[in-house]
Amino acid sequence: MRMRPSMRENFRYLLIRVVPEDLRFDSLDLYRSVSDVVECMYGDLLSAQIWPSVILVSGSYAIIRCRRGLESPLETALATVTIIKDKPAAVHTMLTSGTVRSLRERIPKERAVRQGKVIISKTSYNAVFYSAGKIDLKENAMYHEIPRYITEEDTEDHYYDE
Amino acid sequence: MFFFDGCVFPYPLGGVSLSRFAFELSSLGFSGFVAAGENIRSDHNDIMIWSSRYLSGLTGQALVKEVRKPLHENELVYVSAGDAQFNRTVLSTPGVNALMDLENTPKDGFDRFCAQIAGERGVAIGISIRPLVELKGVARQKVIRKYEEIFTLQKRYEFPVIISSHAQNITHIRSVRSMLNLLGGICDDESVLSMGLSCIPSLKTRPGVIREV
Repeated sequence: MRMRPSMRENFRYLLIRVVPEDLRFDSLDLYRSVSDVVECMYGDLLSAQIWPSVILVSGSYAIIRCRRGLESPLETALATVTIIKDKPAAVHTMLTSGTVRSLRERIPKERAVRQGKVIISKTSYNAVFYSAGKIDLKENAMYHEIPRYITEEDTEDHYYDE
Repeated sequence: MFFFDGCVFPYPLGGVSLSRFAFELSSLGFSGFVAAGENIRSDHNDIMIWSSRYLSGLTGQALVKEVRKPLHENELVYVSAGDAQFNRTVLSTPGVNALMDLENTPKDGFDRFCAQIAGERGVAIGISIRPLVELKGVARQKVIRKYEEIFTLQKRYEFPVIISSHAQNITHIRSVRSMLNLLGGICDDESVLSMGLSCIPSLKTRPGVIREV
């Protein structure tokens, strides 16, 4: 329904970060998870009032829209997201704003992700390197003998694939 | 104000290394955390790391023996809860810092007598947000009701509360704000929740604790 500008809804926008960082998802996957948890926590009535929708997905960051004044219940519901695209995940709310543009500016531009290998206990494992020394070992390299999520501190040596 | 995650499980109890926990929790607004397990290093630059001896499945003499083992400087003793009688025994045992996992106790597992003992002896009660996040439907409603009871008793007997994520994986971690939001629907007293995230250092120095000299 078209409304006069003065009668339009006011929205708030939430910048979120999804972990693990290597999880690939589109806006529909995220919307399904978000609407699921909102409905489970508040029921149909408040879900309709919150009116969550995914505006943008950029890597592991996304912007979610909701009705103004209901961002706090949405934030609470987002903390209960455990699965996105049938994979374990978590959502951290970073910022809330009244405009999409201000949140877009806060999404990190360069997220250097590099593939490589790490050496732990004299064994080499495939790994994904993120900024600030974060390292996720690839699932197929896991034998429950080492932790999967580590930092450079935990490795004996590491090198990047060319 | 310092905010501590009351309990996380680094490798080998979980899939995340201690330094990665330190990195992630520091980026989510925590100034420290308590890691369950042995040989925990507490020398990380950005964040305070305390360790805990997490005792579960022990009863009687075995529990007392384990609790009496000498502690390191920043080490706490957590005991997993059981039925009401067991909980009363644990709360009366000198050296126990916190009673955890109360969401798994049977009905009336934590009654007003337990609350009174906890209040008198300054033993903390653990509140984990993990069941609130992971459970759905009736199971989650039961946990919410149990936590409501605990907060009602806390108002009356004023025992300390520890709020924790019980994270074993990177996806179990939640930010300070998320934790406060999640529990805000159960307890309307914000100061109790803030204290729940910041009372860890005071557990070692609380009055009434019997300390070996």
